[in-house]
Amino acid sequence: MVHENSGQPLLSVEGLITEFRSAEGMVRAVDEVSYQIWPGETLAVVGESGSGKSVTAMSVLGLIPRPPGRIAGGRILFEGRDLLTVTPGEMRAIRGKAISMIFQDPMTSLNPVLTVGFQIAEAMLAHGDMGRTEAAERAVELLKTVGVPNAPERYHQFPHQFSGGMRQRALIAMAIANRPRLVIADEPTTALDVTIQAQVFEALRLAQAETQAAMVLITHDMGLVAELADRVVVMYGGRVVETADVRTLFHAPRHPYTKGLLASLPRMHERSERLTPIPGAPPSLVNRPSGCAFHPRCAHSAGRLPCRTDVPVMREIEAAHWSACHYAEELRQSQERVEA
Amino acid sequence: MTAEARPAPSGSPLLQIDNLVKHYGARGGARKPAIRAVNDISLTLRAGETLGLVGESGCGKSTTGRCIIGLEQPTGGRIVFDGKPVVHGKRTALTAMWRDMQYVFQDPFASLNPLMTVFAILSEPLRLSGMSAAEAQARVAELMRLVGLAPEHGNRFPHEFSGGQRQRIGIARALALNPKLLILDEPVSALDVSIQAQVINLLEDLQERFGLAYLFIAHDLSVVSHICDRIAVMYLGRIVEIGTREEIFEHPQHPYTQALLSAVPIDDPDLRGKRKRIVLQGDPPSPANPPSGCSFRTRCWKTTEVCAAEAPALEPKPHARQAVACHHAGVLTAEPA
Amino acid sequence: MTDHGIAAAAGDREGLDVKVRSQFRLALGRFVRHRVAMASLVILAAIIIVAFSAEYVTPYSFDGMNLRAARLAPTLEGGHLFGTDKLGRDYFTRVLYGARTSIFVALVVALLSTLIGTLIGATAGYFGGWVDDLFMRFTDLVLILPGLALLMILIAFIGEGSPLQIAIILSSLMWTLIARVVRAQVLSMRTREFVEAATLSGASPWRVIWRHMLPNMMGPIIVNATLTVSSAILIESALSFIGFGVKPPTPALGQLISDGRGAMQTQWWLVTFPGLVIIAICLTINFIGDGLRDALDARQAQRN
Repeated sequence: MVHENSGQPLLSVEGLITEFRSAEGMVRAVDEVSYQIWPGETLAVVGESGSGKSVTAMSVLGLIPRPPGRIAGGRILFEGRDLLTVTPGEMRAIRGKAISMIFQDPMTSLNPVLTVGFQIAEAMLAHGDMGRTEAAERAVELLKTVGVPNAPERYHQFPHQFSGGMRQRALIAMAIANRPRLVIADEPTTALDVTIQAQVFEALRLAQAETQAAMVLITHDMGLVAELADRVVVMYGGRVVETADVRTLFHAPRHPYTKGLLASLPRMHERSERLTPIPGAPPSLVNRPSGCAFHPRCAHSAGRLPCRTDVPVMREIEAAHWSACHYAEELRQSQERVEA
Repeated sequence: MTAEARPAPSGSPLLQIDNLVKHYGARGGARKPAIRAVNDISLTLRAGETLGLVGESGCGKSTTGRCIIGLEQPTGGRIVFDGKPVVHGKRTALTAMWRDMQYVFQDPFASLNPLMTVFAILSEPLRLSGMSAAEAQARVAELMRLVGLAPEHGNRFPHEFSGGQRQRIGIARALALNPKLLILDEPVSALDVSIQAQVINLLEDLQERFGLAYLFIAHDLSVVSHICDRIAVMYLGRIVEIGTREEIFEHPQHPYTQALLSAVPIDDPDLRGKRKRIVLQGDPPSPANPPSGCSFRTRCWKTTEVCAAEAPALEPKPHARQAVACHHAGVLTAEPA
Repeated sequence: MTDHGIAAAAGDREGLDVKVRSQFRLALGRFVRHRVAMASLVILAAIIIVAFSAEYVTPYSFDGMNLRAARLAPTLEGGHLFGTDKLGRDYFTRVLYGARTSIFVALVVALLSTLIGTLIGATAGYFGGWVDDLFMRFTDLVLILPGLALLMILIAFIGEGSPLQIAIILSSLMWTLIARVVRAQVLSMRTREFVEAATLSGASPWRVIWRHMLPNMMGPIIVNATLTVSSAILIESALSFIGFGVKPPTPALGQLISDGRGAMQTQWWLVTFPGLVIIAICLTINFIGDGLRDALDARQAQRN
C-alpha cells in the first residue's frame, strides 16, 4: 500500500518533548519528536530500549504519569485537535473510541475477574450508544474476526482460561471494538512464541482490514516491520533519525544507525561468516552524547566535528525520505552492501 | 528407541545423552498430573561443535540444558560427559565436572551478583579451584580482555555496565576454568538488537580460539541458523527433528519445523505476501496432559489416525538424511488445512 | 570519550560515563531523604546517648534515696526534672537508667534473634526437603507457644533477673519472625541466576548462603531486626510490669510503670514519663524501620 501522504494527517506529533524527573535531574526521554500518520496506513516506530518509542506513544495517549513525567513541549494533533490541551475527560473519551491501544502484556491489560466477552462488550457500552445484546453480539463477531475459535463459547470465559496468544487476540478485538481511527500497538508480539506471533499478525491484519484504522506499530523487530508496515520511523536516543516508506528504508537507508541495524541482523537461510555489529551500546537517557547521539558508535562519522557538536535536524534527502544525519548523502553509494 | 541420525563428521562425542526424562511434581500428592518437561531425549555433541536446541517456551529446551549441567535432577536417563557418566546429586563429582562444562544464563541483569565487583565475580571460580590470588588476578585480567572488556574496570559493580557488557562478564565467568562445553541458554535474547551481533561474534571467536563445544538453547531461529552446525527442534518435551543446519533450514521434514520456519518474519518487505506462511491453529498442549501418540497432532494439518495411536520414533527417513519424528514426514507440498 | 570508530572488540564504552555509586550509597541517599525516618533517627540517637551517659547527665544515682524530697512533682528549676518517687529518688535518673536497661535488653534480643533466625531460616530454605520440614515445624511450634506465659515460667525458674539473662530468654522465643523472613528470601533466591552461577563456580552451600544470598537480603533482615527491637522493648516492659522482668533495684521502664501505677492519681509523673519514653523509642524505631524498608527495597532501585 503506497500512500500519497496528501491531505490532512490523522495524527501529527510535532516537536514533542517528554521529560522525567530522576535522581540525576530531568532527563529527556523524548526530544523534539515529530511524525505523522495518515488515515489507514501502518506506521512502524522502530528503536531499541531507551529510544523513546514507547514514551512517545504514551504521550500521545495521555498516559505519562505526572510526576515524575511531564510534557515539556510540542503539539499532538489528532484530527486537527491538540491532545495536549484537551481536558482529562475529553481525553478519556478519545482514548478507547477514536484511538485505542494494544499493549505488550495481555494479562495485565485484562481484568482477571470479568469474562473476556463482557470486557469487550463493556468497551463498546462505555463509548457507544449500543444496547447490551447488540454489544454482546458484536463482541462475539469481533472475537471471530481476530481468529478466536469457538467465539460464542470463548465469550463467557475468563482471561486465565485464554492462552497468551488468545488473550492478545482478545485485546485486539477490544481495541477495534469501537471502530477506532487509530490503533497504537506497543510490542504486540514480543512476549509471544513464534508460531503464536504468526497468529497475532494475522489477527492484526484482519483487524485492520475490518476497521480500516491507521496503526502505529511500536517494535524493535525488523522482521515484523518488514511484514506489516507501510512507513517506518526510526528512533534513537529519544529522537527520530530516519523516516521513509518501508521498502526504501530496508533497501536504501540514509542514516548510519538504520544501516548498521539492518546489517547486524542475523538472517535465516543466509550464512554469512560473520555478523557486522554496531559497536558500543545505546546511550542511557542520563548520559546522551553531544551532537548526534549516535556519533560514538557511528562508522560514518569518522571523527568529524559536526557530529560531535551539532544536533542534526531531519532533512528530506529525497521525496518522502527524511534523515537526521549530517552526511546522509554519503550513504547513497554504499547501499549495495546492505542489500548483499 | 530414538537414535542419532548419523554420525557427525569427526571427533568422539563430548556429551552423550540417552533417554533423558524430567518430570516435575511426580512425587507426593499424586492429585496433580506430573509435568512432563522433558520426555525421552537423546543427543550427542562433539568437541568443537555447536548444537542448537530450538523450540517455543515450555518445550523443555532449558530444562534439558539444566539437567545436563546438574542444576536440575533428571527423572531418568543417562548423561555421559567427556567419557564419564554424570552423577547428579553428588556435589564433589558435579563440581569436578563444572570445570569442563559451564553455563551462560539468559538474563545478564540477574546472573551477576549485584553486590560483587566484576573482579570478585570472575575470580570466584578461580580461587575455588585452588588458584593463588596472584594467579587469579592475572587470569581475571586475561578473561576480561578476552571478552572485550577493559581489565581496569574490574573494580566496578555489575550495575555500572550495559546489558551487552554484563553478558560479556557472564561469558568470561563461564570461561574462567577453560571448559570444553558451554551451555548457552538464550544468551542474546535479552539484549538490544544492535548488541546481539556483538555477542554472537564474540561467541564465535571464542569457539574458534578454544575449540569449545556449544549447546545453544534459543527460540530465535535467525540466530540459531547463524551460529549452529546442527539443530534439534523440540516440541512438548521431545525432539521432533534433528539434523544439520542445511537439512533443518533448507529441507525441513517435520510439519512443526516447517511451521516454525515459515512463521519467522523475514526482514525484507519485497517478500511480503510472497512466502507461504503456515499459521498453526491453537496453542501447544499442556505438558501435564500431552495428547496420545504424536504430541504435535493437535495442531498438525497432516494428522491421521495413526498419529493419535502411535508416537512416532525419531529416526532417519528414506528420503531425508536427518532424523524426524513424524509418521508423515516429508517436504512441504500440501497446503496446510 | 574515545574517538570515532571504536573497535567492536574494545567493547562498549558507555560504562565509562556512568557515575560510580555503590548500592549502599544509593540506599543511604534514599534513607537520608526520608524525613520522618531521619528525624526519628536523631531523636532515638539522642535518647540512647543520654541514657548510656546517664552518669554524666544527672548528679543523682538511680538508687540514691532522699526521704525529705519524696514525692516531688516535676519542676524545671528544682533539680528534679521528672520529680521524685516515694523514696525521694530522682525520677529523671530512674527513667534514664530504666531506658538504658530496656534498650540494652532490646538490642541484645535483636542481635541474638537475628543470628538464630538467620541461621535456622537460611538452613531450612537452602537445603529444603526434610531439613526444611524439621526446622520450620520447630519454628511453628515456638511461634504457637503462649509466649508471655512461657517467658514467665522460664524467668521464674532460671532467672535471677539480670538484663542479659532476660535478653537471652526473650531471644529464644523471638527469632521466629526473622527465621521465616530469611527462609522465604532464601527460597526465592535459590533459583536466582547469580546464585546458580555461584554454585556452578564451585561454591559450597555455605559459601553460596554466606557470600551470595545473605548480602543480598540484608534489607529485609535489617528491617525485621529493627522491628524486633521495638517489640522486644514492649515485651520486656510488659514482663517487668507484671514483675517477671529485670529485678530491682536495677530499673527498667516497665518496672517503673508498674511501681508507679498505684499512685497514678496523685503522682501522674511516675507512669507518664517512663510511658512516654517507651512510646518514643517504639515509634522512632518503627519509623526508622519504614525508612530502611523504603531505602533498601530493591524494586525501587533503578535498573539503569
